[in-house]
Amino acid sequence: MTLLDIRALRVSYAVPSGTVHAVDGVDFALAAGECVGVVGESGSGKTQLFLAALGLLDATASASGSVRLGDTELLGAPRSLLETVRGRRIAFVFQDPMTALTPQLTIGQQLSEVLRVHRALGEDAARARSLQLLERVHIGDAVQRLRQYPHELSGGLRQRVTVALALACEPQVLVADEPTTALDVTVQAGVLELLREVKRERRLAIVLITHDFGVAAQLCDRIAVMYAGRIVESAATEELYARPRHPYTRALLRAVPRLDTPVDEPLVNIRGAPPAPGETPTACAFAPRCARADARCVSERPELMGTEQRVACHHPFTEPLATALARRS
Amino acid sequence: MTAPASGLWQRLANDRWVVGCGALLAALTVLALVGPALSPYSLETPDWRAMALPPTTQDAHWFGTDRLGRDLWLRTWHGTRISLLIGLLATAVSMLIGVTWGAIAGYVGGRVDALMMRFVDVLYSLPYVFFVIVLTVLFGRNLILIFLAIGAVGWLTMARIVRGQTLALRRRPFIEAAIAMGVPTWRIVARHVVPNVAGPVIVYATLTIPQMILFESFLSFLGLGVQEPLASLGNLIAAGAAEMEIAPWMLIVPAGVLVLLLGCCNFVGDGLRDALDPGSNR
Amino acid sequence: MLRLLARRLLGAIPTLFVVVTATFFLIRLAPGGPFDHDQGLLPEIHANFERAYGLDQPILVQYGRYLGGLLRGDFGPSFKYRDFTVTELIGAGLPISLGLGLTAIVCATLAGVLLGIAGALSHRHWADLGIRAFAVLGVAVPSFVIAPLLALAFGVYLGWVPVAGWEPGTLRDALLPVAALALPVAAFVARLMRGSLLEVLGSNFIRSARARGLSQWRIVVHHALRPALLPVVSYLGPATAAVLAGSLVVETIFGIPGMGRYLVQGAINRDYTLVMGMVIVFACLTLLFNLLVDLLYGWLDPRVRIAGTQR
Repeated sequence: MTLLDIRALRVSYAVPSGTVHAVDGVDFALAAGECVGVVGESGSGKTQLFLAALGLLDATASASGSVRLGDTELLGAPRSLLETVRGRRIAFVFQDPMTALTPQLTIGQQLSEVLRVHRALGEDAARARSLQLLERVHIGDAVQRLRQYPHELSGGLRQRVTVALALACEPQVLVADEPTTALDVTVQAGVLELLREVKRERRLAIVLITHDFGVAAQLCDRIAVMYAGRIVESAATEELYARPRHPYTRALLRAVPRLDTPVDEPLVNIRGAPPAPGETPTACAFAPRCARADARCVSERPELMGTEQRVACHHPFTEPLATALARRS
Repeated sequence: MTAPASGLWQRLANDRWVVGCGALLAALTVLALVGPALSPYSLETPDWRAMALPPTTQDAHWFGTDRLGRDLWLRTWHGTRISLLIGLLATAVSMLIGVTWGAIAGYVGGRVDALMMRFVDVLYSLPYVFFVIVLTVLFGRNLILIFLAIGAVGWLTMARIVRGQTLALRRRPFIEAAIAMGVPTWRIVARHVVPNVAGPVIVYATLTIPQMILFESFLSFLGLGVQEPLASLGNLIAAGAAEMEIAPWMLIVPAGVLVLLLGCCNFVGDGLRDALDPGSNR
Repeated sequence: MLRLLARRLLGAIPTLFVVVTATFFLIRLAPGGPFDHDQGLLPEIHANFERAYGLDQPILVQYGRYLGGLLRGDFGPSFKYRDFTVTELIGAGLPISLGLGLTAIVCATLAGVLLGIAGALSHRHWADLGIRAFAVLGVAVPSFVIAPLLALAFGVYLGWVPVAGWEPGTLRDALLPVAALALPVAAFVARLMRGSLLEVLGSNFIRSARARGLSQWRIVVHHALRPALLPVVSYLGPATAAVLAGSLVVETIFGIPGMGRYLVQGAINRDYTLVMGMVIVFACLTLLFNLLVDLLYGWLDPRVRIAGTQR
């Protein structure tokens, strides 16, 4: 059952040199209890996509298309409607925990606030629930923490608090935007484990936005790969890693250093760069960097094809990755 | 860091407000320099037959006259001259003291820096207006000493800015490399520190000029600055305020010129600051 | 919090000491004396006056006596207003000046903050432009220009308020002076507030708050306001100094018998003790206000409060 259904979403900005399409026609579906990873490099549009869904874009952006949560249309909805959806049905965890909390309010005040606004809890009930939430995200000494200000907590703790805030009203969907990027590796593991638990016990649908394939592999059932504002491939996690079809995905996975690579082998990278903002991409945006590109790729835009495994490419790979690597060495 | 200088003029030229105010400022300066020459009258000679006339075109009393029959056009532009002069000189003084103080403090660092900046902090927390008043009592109404006094009081913020910049620069690897290579201190300061500090200093200096003009006008208004029969925008406004019920132009003309002067200076200064450092708070 | 307070108070004492000493020596070293303006004083009578006021003593002795007097709260006699001591004059003028100044600051801050918020929230509207214009004018139109212009407009032409004069306790008399003092400050505060609020509204934690479904009103009042006020509070220190300076002008123009006017008269007349006394009191007021501002800042920003460090 599809919970979040995004169709033909476009996000554009007007700049002096023309129009920039941060998101260029994206279809995305999320089912209840499913965890989907959205992987791409900086500027691929993965954050903009979900900011648009919640109406959190800058005033300078214009968005078109459709975003449905259940049977509620979110795109272009009045602010009063969006305010009942945000935090309550869809929660967002932002990237940088150091700046995500209001500095002059205590943790307790920020938690109680959300509970009182969305669930009309009284002060005592809100406090009790806040304690529960902190314990739920494994923050020890919860009573003390409620009284503290954000700057008194470490980055890892602050990130857990943002997760607690997100879960406070028991949303149906959680969008986590690079939740571990700003954290140490050891702390990362903790936060990921937390997300795994949450997914298990609540059947929460999670969107994990990341540029790190490793992180995505640990948590996601399905992965969508974005490039230049479009989704270029989407498949179940194991399928994607075993048999990446899109040349971009394949190149990305090959670029990840492996433990068994000889030390002196040069790092693989993808030549060229993604289209600059404002630059009009070729029909297939990846064509300038793709070894398999031909005239068709430059003139005809590839659409996402397939059912379980979807790819937008005129010349997708079919061979499993392992086989290809073995063949090369 | 500051934005590159190459685009600076372009950015400045793009901002209509800055261009407009800059032009107005230039016009005011020209008038201050040339205006008095256009008038057949003299600065101090009273004319008993033409007392307190409103602005007219006849007899070339374009701004009218004051209570003693002296031509206001002449006096206003004279006053503007003095205000501009004092503003520029006082700013120069405050820049000189401030940059030197701040550069030394920032470059030497350590306890010298702490001491020097503590001195600045103590002075900063005092209402310096009152000290200048004390100084005017002290020195009498000597014009040069007045602008020295005003400038000497305005150097504090300049010192802070320069010290901050110098401190940051001091730690930069290229300075450390220069020191390690044995480049003499004065050379480092002249070739590396000064150009990098120049930006904020110029911006702040541009914003200091109207402050100094304001300050001088304030003192003259109270009777503690430029004295009669010399004209300053400040004492012209004071005289105008006394007569405003009968001869409002005596107030409005110098007040208007002062407001235009200050407004344009501030606008241009702001524009300069935005052009040099687009990230600063607007 | 208390530690911050104590430390600041202690730090103020050396500053005060510097003020007193500097003022004393500057004034005493000035050429000319307080009796030079009195016409036709025979040399003997001149010498008598000097002896009576202790001006013939070596300067360090005079300094010592002055300090001693200060500690007893005695600022010495006024040389010009011969019937009064400086302490009495201060006592008469201080409540008036303080009342005027405080009213002006409070009004200016309130008005400025409200205008700044309005300007920030109505982004790109004509209202915002109007407020920005007001802010720019405030910098260019100082108290001593505004005061007579206001008097001209509202006093002479419209006749709503008396042009000058001071009946203690009357509201109408206070209107123009307070307005003249408050307007430049209000303009600057409005500009500061607008910029600060806009910047805060663009920050990450506000976006997070929005993503939690909090209403715009709640976000502005509970989340954005306090951080946005910080630069305004920082400015209150210099603002108070500006108002104190402005009071010199405003009291002179409107004929208000406050400390400012006495100071100006004292400066013109070279009334040593009066000028010194006034300067010291003004310096104390400035230091006091700076302290209060620091405390206010600490209340608004928990990071400062808990760390107990100086800004």
